[in-house]
Amino acid sequence: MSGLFRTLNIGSESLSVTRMGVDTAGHNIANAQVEGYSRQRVNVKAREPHQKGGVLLGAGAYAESIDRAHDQWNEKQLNRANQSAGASSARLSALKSIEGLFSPDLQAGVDVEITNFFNAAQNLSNFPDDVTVRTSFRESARGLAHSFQRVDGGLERERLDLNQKIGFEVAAIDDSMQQIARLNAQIREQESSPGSHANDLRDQRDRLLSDMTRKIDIHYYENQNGMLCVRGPGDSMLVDGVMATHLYVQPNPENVGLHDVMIEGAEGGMDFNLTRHLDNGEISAMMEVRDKVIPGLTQKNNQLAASMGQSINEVHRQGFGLKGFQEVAGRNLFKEPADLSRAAAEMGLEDAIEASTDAISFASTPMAAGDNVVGNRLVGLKESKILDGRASFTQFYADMVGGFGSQVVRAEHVNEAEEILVKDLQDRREAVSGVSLDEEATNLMRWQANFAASSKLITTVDEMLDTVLSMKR
Amino acid sequence: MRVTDRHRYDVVGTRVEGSKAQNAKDLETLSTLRRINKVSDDPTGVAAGIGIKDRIASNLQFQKNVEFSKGMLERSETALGGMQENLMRLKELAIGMANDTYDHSSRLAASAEVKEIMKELVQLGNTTFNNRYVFSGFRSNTPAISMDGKFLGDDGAVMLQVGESQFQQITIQSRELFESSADERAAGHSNMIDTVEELLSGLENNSKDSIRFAIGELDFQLDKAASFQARVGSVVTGLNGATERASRNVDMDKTTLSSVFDADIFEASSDFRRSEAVLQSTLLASTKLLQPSLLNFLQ
Repeated sequence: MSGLFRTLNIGSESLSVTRMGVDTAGHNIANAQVEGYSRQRVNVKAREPHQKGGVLLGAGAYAESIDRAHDQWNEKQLNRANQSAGASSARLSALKSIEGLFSPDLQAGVDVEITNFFNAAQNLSNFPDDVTVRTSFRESARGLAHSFQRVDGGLERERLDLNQKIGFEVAAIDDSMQQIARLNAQIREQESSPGSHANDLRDQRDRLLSDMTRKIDIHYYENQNGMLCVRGPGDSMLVDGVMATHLYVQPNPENVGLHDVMIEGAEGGMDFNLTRHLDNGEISAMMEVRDKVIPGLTQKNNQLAASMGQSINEVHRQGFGLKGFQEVAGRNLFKEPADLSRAAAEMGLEDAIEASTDAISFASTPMAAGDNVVGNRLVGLKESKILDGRASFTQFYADMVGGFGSQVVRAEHVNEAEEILVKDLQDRREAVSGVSLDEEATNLMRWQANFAASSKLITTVDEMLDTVLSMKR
Repeated sequence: MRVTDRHRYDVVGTRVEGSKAQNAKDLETLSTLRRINKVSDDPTGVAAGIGIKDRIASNLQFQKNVEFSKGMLERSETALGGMQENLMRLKELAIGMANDTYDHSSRLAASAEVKEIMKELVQLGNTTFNNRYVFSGFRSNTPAISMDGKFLGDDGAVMLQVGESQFQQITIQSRELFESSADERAAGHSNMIDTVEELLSGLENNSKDSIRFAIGELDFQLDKAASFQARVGSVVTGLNGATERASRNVDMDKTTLSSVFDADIFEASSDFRRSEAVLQSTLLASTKLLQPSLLNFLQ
């Protein structure tokens, strides 16, 4: 009698395993398009057989656990690749947005304005005493100053934008850290009973980790409780089990108030500056562009503006103007910048020139309206190799733009290579962990058949029980 | 390899995105007909382009400079021609009046014409171009000579750029023309207007000797004016060469610029056609790839 009930039990357990199988297939199908989801499998095991009458009799099957298909090694590789890919793509997008400042389509780029200025100087050399020509020369000098200001302002804006973005990214990392710590606690709790694997929570945690690796360089390991410990740059501890520190940004007065990345000290310890230790991921790339590439361009723009201003002034001071200015030389055309590092931003016309075009001084002798000797000296500056003794103004600008363009091209190539690597690893991850609907459909059919067979077992035992019970009559 | 559904969708996504991006790029090239629209499209090309565009603008400016200079020089040349004609007429008059057949009264009558011619010579000396006195050197707002023939200009030579590192003088220093040098004075010559004054006083004083002397002096002045005119002519010839050079440079640079920046229209349109075909076949293949699933066969 107990024998039949045992068989009934095998049937009912089989039904329950089967339902678990269908549920898992359903869960897989439902999550087929979820980023970072790993497909799950019911781990079915045969029960230990019973000794009965000298034979070992099978005792049915049970679900030991539900596992996820997951390749840790691939995950590590993917995260490492993600760091470099994050860095290269952040660098590329930062450079791309600067690129517009030097677009060859610009009608008022520095190169165009330099050409215009010297052409206007030649025109004025033709007609040194013509008021209209003098006015248009002044206009072109103003345009030149504006073009330097535009580049300077544009670079400054890009720099501040990047700085702001760094702030957002750091906040996002901090958020991920807190979430990982929370998930750590939940995972420990859910996995406290043997056989339960917190698959979906682990997927979420892996997802957060992978987001983080794109942004900042981290190392991580899982402790014996299944909790993740994350170490950041400079061997700082970001997440330790259920505890997470805080990352935040803080203006650095030594770097014109741009953000430094700080980490909160553990338990009353000093806060620690991570900025110097960042060397991979989006944030380090953005910092590199913010602190090296953009200041480099700004410096070159300033160098060109300062050198143009100085050499033009030097010549202009030799000249005499018209009317009220025809007897006194020694005037500058452009204002002398107080600070060479702001030469482009502060470039502007001398007050006397702003007030009257008569102050423009093209004559080498006093009271000679038709004298254009100084004007011609000014015109001659255009071809002189003034910058570092090897480049004219236009050549210097062309070098600067060409050099920057090459940086963009290089960044494009690097990014392309990195993304291909990431894509490849993602494909491999997907091959292991992804959901195949066809596969799930087969599974459904399999479990369905199993369900039918298990039910059959129960009805068979039921009929057998009937037979046993009817024996008494 | 295990192919999952996400993988299939990803592959389709990447392929379609890739061929769309290529197609959009080709469309941009085709619609702008330019190979370079951003610095990173070809950094060296852009850098070279900056130099070439600058050279083109400079050479166009050189041509403008030359046009202006030529106007000024032509005006000077005409003025010098006019001076020669007037000096000739004076010489003719002098030769006639040096003849014994004329008496004092007819010489006085001729002196009236000489006075008019003298005024005209002064006017020609003060010829302007665009409100600038062409013979005054740098003092372009001041007439070159006063009514009594004194030179008021200076020795300034107005130079203009007509080519790369090439400046050309476009005014003639006319002190020599209107003023007699120390050597000339030692040889008994005087300046242009004074020479005419000598003729005038000869006529008024009825002095045949003075008139005959003036004839020689007028010849001297005529030679001077002619040699100045020749000098102007040679400057104009030089300018013509310069403007030709400038326009040749512009043509050459424009060709280079176009080869750097412009897309080959045939290449661009065939590239576009190709990427369009690729896009279409990718889309077609994608629908075929995504359709079949075992689920379709489960009823």
